[in-house]
Amino acid sequence: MLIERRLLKNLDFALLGAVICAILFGCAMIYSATRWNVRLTSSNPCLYVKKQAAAAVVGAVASIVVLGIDYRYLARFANVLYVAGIVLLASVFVLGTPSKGAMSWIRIGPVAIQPSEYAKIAVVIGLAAYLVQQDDLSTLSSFIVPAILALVPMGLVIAENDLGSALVLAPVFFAMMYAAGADPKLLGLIIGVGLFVIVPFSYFFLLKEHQQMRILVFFNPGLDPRGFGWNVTQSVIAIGSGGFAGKGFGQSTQARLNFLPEHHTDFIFSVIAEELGFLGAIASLALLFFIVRRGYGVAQSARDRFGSLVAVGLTTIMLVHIFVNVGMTMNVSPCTGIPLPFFSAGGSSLIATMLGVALLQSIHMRRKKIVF
Amino acid sequence: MVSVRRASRPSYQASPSVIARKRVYVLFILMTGVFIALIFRLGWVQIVKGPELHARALEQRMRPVPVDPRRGTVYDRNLRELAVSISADSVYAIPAEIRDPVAAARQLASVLEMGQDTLLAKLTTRQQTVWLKRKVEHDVAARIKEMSAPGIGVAESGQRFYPRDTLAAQVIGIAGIDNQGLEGLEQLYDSELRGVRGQIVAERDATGKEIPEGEHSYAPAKDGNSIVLTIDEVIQYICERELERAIADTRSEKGIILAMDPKTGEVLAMAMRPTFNPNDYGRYPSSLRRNIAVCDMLEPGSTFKVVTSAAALEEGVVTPTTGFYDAGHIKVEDRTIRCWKAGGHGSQTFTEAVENSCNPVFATIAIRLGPETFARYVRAFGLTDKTGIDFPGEAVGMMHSASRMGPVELATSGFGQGISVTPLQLLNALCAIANGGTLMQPMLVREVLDPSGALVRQFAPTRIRQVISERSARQLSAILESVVVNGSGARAAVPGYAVAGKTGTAQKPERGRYGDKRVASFMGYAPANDPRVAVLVVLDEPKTDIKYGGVLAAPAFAAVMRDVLRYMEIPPMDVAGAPTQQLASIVATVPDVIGKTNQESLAMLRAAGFGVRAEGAGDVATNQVPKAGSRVAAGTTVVVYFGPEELYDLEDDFVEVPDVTGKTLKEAVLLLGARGLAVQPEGRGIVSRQQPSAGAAVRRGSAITITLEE
Repeated sequence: MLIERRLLKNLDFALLGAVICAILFGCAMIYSATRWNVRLTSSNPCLYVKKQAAAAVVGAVASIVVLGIDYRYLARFANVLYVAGIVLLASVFVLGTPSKGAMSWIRIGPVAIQPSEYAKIAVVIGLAAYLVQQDDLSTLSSFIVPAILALVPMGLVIAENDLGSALVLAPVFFAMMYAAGADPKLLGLIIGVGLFVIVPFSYFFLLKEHQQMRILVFFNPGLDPRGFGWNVTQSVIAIGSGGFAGKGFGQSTQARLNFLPEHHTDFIFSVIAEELGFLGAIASLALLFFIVRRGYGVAQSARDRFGSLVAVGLTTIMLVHIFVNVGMTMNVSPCTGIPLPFFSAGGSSLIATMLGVALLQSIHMRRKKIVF
Repeated sequence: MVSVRRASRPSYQASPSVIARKRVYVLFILMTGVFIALIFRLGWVQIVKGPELHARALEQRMRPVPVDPRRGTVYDRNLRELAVSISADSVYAIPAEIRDPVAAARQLASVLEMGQDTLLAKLTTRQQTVWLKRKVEHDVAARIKEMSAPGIGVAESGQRFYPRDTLAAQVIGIAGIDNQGLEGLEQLYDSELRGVRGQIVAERDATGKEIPEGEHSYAPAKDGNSIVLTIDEVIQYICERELERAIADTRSEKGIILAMDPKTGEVLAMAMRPTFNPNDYGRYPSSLRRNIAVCDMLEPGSTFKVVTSAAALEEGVVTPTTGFYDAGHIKVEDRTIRCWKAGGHGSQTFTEAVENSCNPVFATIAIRLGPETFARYVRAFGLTDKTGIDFPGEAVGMMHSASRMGPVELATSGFGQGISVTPLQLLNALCAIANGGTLMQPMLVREVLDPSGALVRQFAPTRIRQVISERSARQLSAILESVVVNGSGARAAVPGYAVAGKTGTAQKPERGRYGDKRVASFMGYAPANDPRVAVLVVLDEPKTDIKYGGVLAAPAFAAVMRDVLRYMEIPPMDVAGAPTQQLASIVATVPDVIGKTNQESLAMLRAAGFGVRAEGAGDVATNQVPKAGSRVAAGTTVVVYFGPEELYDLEDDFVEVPDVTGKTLKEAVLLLGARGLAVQPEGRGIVSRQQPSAGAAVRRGSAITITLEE
């Protein structure tokens, strides 16, 4: 057997159950969001559900493999993994195909993968492996190497024109630094400088026009209701029109009639909120909350600092995805193409998220010393 | 010792410190805060803003589409169409639904033949809907529909079409593209013609497509009512044709010919020149759209003597045989009023004075009447009030008030100087005399019909007042008859009919003085013993050497009267008043006179029992209407044209119908219009059938029914 039976007993079954629930629920909502859209599904209402289920199977197989590996081996090969992640990101420039203005996909036959989803995990492992070796994170100079470790992949993803995915790494970096014992004052100072100096600077000198527009629209969705404001405006209308109890499963009018764009991917939460109402939206948020909560639980109970930091990193990735995506649908965060973990249709996102959860389980299983 | 233990193992195997665990806990708290924030926001959007956003979602999906009613038709008195609404397609955009305006503008520019920049500006306006192009051709609309671009649509709205182009244009007026009457009867009867707008509410997807299983509601449009004018298309056509000819002959600036039924006050024709084409009214100065017969005033001149005469006869100031002496001038206070004839008319009866249109006599009569009585009759004839005709913007006549009328003003007013009336007022006053002294209210609309053609409302003739006694009216009528038989109106005579009338030659006031400009006019009615039609001809500023109404306007009057009486099938009478034609009910075959000489053809036709009208100056008959072999009622007048060429425009002229199948509506209208044919379109698209078919000979002015199919 690949995994020892004793270790299996240590699995976080609540987390496992929650993840299975979330994937099944996500498939149901994807079905509801796409079955009307003949143009999208080419008259096979289950097309997207099948794709998602296939990704889930691949993710499950990969997860079992990950569970069989002691996560501590990852620390030894962290450098290799990190470099591999960077190479993967860079490969997009050679092999990638543009999609929706971003150069972040590699197409292999019928399957398109998004390297940045996987690279994030590699970056978290690399960063964790470096941080556990540092006893003192109270000086500015001690921040330099970890910052470079985070900025190199961020820069690559920005170069791919996928600003949203790149910015996810910033909170992950800060959360890991914080958990690793960095000086909170210094950390706060850097976050402050980042928000008030680097962000405005980037806005005016580094961002492309359409990226600037997205941010402007975030502050004023009425600014360009036809263009960048359209998605967000329609999403808010869809969510609001759902009301308390929703229109019923499969009864979304705004998604069905194509007022709401990208309703099976980036705006799946809008469909959930429209069809299942406030109650359904709260329930799905609660499910995600539970998963994230268990993730931080794994970080707390990990047997070593490396496991703890990796768990913090992976969980924070999920948390940021949830906040940015759900916030975007309600116009509390900028409109970036960040998928909602477990729910949004998209193979790379689902498989990467499942791999992350598998790593969490791997850490959790080995939280206690196994007595032979 | 902790540090020692840590040092002895690889650092990544060190267990997390208490601080690290605490910090993870802090992260967990932060995360909880994030979720709580999201839930608050969710509650705000769904619970607080829910109803409002629900309404917005509904509004987006249930966009109501207005359904325009079909505007009612304007018919002549015989239900021939003068103004009809056909469907015309217009292209509109819903800017909020257009994701890429630049690409859309580029795509549309070639199809709509518009500039990209213009289109882009329209596509990016902040309106719910914006018209890109109104009145597009059928194939353009079809191509736009085919594109089915999001946010671009085609609306079909009622386009107004005037099948007779310029005919009675100032009377009918114009309607705008939004089904609103702008001028003339289109404006006055707008509430009848307009109809009631309907609405289709249907659930639509983001591209504007209707959802078959979606919610629907349909409020049908109520089409507008039609109006039936008192105008007779044929009489109107005759008047316009003769007016055009008279204006060309006299090189006049403007001209009016009015025709009325004196017994009812119904206006049978209201022609004026210059004119405009209501199908393309934007290309003409708006001044040409003014109905100068109703809305403008003129100095009547001698035609006004009819009113003075009526007053004098009714008041007993004169009788037809009262004797006058005209020395060629008369002194009123310090003013000398001259007769138009140098040396004067000498001794004459009142009848002769009217025949001669002698100014000194009328000055005398006016003074004898006195200002109050004179003014009372002017008022009684309705010359100081609106006639009450159903037309917008009617003007009112003006004269010196009785209290401020000295002998000079009174004297000149007696022969129509220093008084302003509208042409309609003037003819209506004459109609009162023709109508036994009873003044009627002029009218232009007889009936209102609903869209199915059923009668909604009928307008009865309105009697205003008895102005003079029937006896005085008869006396005056006899005098006016002798004006045409013996006097200044000789050129107004119509063979076979007793015509009563009066000439007029007014000096045109210019900057308060009278100059060289004249207004030549003639008004009269026929048959004098039983008047069926009254006609006024006004020629403004003729450029001929002789500018007398009796010379310039009377022939046009005669031409109109002759054709109108024949059209109205009023049998000619001999001098004694008995019908000359006893054979009216017998059908006869028209002989062939083409190639015959003038006398030969006259003899042949007379022998066969036909009336003859010779036209042209040639020696040999080159054309005849009706054609040889036609079986028509005996006694019908056959028009024979003697001339080198067949250019003369006979109103009975026959033309060959051209083939218009396969043409667009516009092309068909142009093709048929060039031959003087009217168009009665049905349906939309391309002409598939026509009735009568190509090659048939039809009377000029006939309507060709064309069926259009997509």
